Amino acid sequence: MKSIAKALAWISLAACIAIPYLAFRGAIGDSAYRTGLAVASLAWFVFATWGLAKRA
Amino acid sequence: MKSRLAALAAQMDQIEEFDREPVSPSRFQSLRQFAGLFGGEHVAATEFVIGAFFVLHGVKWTDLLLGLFLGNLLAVLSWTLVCAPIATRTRLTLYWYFRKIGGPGLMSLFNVLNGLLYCVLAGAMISVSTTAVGAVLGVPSPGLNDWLPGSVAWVAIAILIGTAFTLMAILGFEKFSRFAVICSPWMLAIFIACALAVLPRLGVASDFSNFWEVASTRIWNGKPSPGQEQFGAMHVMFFAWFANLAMHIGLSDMALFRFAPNWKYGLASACGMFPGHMLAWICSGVMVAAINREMNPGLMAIEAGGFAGGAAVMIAGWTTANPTLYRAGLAFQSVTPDWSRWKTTAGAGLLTTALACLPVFFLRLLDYVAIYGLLLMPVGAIVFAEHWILPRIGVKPYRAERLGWLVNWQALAVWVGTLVFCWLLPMHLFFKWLPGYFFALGAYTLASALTAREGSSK
Repeated sequence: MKSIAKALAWISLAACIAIPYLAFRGAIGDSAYRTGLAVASLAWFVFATWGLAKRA
Repeated sequence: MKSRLAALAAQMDQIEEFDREPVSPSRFQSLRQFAGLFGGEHVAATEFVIGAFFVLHGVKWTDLLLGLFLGNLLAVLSWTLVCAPIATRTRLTLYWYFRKIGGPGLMSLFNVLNGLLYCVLAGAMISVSTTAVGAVLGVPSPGLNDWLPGSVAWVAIAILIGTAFTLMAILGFEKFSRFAVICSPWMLAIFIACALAVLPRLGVASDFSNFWEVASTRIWNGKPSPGQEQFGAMHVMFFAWFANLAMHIGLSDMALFRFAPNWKYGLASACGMFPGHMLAWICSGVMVAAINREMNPGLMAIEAGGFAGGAAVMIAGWTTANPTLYRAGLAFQSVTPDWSRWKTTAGAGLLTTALACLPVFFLRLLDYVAIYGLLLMPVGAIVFAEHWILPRIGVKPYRAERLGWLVNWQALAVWVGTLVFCWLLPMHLFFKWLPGYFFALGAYTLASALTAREGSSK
């Protein structure tokens, strides 16, 4: 489970870059970008705390 | 006075007792750990401010690139060639090594000074976090040239945030530190995200084809904001070099590199410098340009990244302030022998919060960082001279330890004299530390050589 959480954490972090890139390219609007970034950020903290925190 | 200083030194020794012994090879850490450590430490709230200020100081795009590349390279080389070699040979923290050289009394004074400087830095970070809350609540941020807060609301927010940060440092420093490690990669991602998202507002095409032109004409266009001094490549280079002067040339990071198998691990500092002090500074420059150069990190981040941007400013302020408050509490514990750790941390927090109410420390952050490094740099020069130069000219090192000195008065005189020398130098503040360093090296070497005969006969 921990390794799944770790993988999801890194995917969330990648989404934190991918979502603004889509906004930069005009593929998504401002509202979708802001919401997406917030959700990806929250996901990072949840999964990283679960999957990475003890290692830290 | 002498007995009070001796008592202070003894108290300080007790606090640092855990780190007294040289690190054994079984405790060495991997390159990956060093890379992670540097990567995590150098993406902080300060990056929101520093990168933005380069735009406001009218730095040109090409000067920024050149200055940041060279300055960060010099910082990496300073860690690798100055700090890491001494750390890997002695396996000691700066505290215990300078104690042998400067005497326990001088080391205690250095620690307390460091604690006070930490409080100012933590206060500036709380101010930065205050801009994020202020942006949400509609509380105007202080103006670029302000020294005092502009409203009671600003002060109230700063006090609330300062209190919260202090409580967290008291209640769970270690637990929160583990959490802070998770914040670092996310913060770098947010810097990149926010910059990417606002590039279209600045006119950058979706294929990046005109990025260079926009960077040169709309962001780093060479035009300083009203009241701001014009900076060039040399200012940028020197700033990037000395941003962590106390850590590399000043040798505070002996505490880290004593765990390195060899001096080449100093190169791991590149994992902090180039992402944090180059990429993040470029990103914050983009963000401030997108809000018409208003120095308001909170507004900058919220406009660029919404909730995530605002959270990044808050979290960045906290992750910088948390260890800083803890270290300040440790330093002050030596001057308050009857106080427990939580009381000294609370005291540090009180001072820090009071300082956070004055926006001057974050609005003059570049100058403060320069002064911070300048004040502590002479210690690094003294230790460097004692470690490398004195043995080569036939002077036995560590006289303070051998002769039982409470204070090495030569070291103190060189420290103070170097600061006077730097103050008198007719050059920009950013450039003073380098001639000052060589002055300190030369003055301490000469003073030690001249008095060596007297010392070595004892």
